Amino acid sequence: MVKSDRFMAILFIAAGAFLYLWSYRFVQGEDVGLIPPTFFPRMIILALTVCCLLLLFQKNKVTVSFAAPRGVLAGVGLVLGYVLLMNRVGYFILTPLFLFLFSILLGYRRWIPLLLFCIGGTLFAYLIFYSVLAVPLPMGLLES
Amino acid sequence: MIENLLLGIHAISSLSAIVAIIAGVVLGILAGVMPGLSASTGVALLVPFTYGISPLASMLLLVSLYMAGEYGGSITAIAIGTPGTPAAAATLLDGYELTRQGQPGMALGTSVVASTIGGLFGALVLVAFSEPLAKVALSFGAPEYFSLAIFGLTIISSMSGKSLLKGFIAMFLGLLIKTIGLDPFTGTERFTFGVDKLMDGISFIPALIGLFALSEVFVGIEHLKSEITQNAKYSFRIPTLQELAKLWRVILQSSIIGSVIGVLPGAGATITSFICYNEAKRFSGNPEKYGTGCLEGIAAPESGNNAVVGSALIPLLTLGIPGSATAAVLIGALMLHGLIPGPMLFVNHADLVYGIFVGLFVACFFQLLFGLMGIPLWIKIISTPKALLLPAIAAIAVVGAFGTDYSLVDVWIMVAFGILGYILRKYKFPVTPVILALVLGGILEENFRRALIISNGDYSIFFTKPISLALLILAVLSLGSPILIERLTRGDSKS
Repeated sequence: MVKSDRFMAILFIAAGAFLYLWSYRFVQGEDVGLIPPTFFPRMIILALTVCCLLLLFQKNKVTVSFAAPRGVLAGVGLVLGYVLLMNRVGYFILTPLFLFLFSILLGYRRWIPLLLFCIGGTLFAYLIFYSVLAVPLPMGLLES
Repeated sequence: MIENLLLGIHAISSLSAIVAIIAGVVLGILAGVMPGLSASTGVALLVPFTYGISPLASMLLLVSLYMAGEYGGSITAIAIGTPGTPAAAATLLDGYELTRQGQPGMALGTSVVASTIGGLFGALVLVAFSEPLAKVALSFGAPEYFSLAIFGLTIISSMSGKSLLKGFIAMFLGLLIKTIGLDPFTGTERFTFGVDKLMDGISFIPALIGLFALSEVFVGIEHLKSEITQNAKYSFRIPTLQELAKLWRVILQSSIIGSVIGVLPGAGATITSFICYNEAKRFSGNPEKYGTGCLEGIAAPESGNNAVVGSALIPLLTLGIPGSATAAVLIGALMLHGLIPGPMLFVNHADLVYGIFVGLFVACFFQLLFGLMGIPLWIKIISTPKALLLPAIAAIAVVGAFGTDYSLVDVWIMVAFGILGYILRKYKFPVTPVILALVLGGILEENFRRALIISNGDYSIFFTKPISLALLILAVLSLGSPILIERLTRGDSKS
């Protein structure tokens, strides 16, 4: 078990340091006014760093298992795959597949209701977003 | 006044007006429910369709949609832990907790009643106090807005659970994320890393969907096999009149706060709902019950964010200045029909103006009716097996994020925030301060810098303006009092 508070504090301090250094790359004109564009980000990073240091040296730290369960990682992977392939494959082909695989991953095994849910859910979302609200859902393969 | 109200009643006494109100309420609830949409999006989408109908019916449709949209966001916030609108993020804190305890009906019932009363109060304020409140709106400048944002941020003290320090870390994280994009004064690119879409900054709606909806999916997967999830049974019980009557103080207080803040241009329902939640908790005899599923924690933000609707129309109709983003869209609707908002609107089109006033009251009634009728439906939906519900939420989150600006970059932002939200929740960091910071960060920085430009670098401007000073004092008290009370309580228990 890793002391997660310590890990998170160090992570945020490191991220803050990186962003603080990155702020020197902001391309500014000569006239930046009274408060330059770097002022707020740097002040926030400094405040964040102070809070993280306090957390680092705080007693009664939280200890949580570091690793995410396999199911969560698989879920993240499915969502990433869904988004990556959305433009190429298209909403109508990908969404029922996504719903099907995700439900299987979570242990659902009643096939007829699952099939109805995947197709019905896809059509329902199409009705709301595409037909009523005119959101142009990606067609992907169906477009060609 | 009475004559004008009678004029308004006469104006809406037609089938087309009533149909417009009903349609607006139904569409508003739908817009509020869907993550990725909001009252302002719904109004914006519908404006072009109002071209062919009368000005009064158009405005009744849009204003009813606005009202019901603010309520609609609470439905998904309560039912599945996903705020349908940004303002419902505060409702989620106690609303979703009640659902977890198997009592979604209590939460949904409280939400619709509180929203209705808040909406009625806001409409009353609109009718009775248009003129004086318009003057208040005019007196708010850059220093006042900065101080209001500071006051708003101190609310994290009630959002942080057991660790105020972690709340501050989450807040600063949100403020830092808010700086991504073009600097509003010089156009300098900040933390865009060469990604063109990031020049517009991080879109708020995708971030909200990710932080709440998608992270909830990942957390849900982790707890899927738990006994609690598998044996979850949901009660259809809604609150009794006696239980609702006990909330009168919280609802009245929040409606007043919502009505005042709603008048301020740019303030809006989101900041209002958080302030109302915080103030209800502060003045409560049992502040520790907030966040555990108390009805007050639902009534406060809901009555507040619906009270905003009526008062946001005050600067719009009297001065032509929108009191919220949705009100800004309504200006477009008025102009589409050749109407110019401002004092002359009351003179030349009194029937329209007072028709809107009366229409708001009628919209509240229909909102209550449809809201109560919809409760069994929402409970049925959340009774769906989690193995089906979680993928559905994930899919809606993706489509909802895409629907914001028809861009996959927004979807990636949503996914990134979903993962961030999961990590924060796993390691016991509160998520709400991040959202609060995203809402207020822009107001904070822009008005700070604008105020200093006005004062030529003199920081005393924040302390010499009376409203600004009052807000800063309130901010100190807001942040300091929970810490002081905790120290005093610890001291009492030790002795």
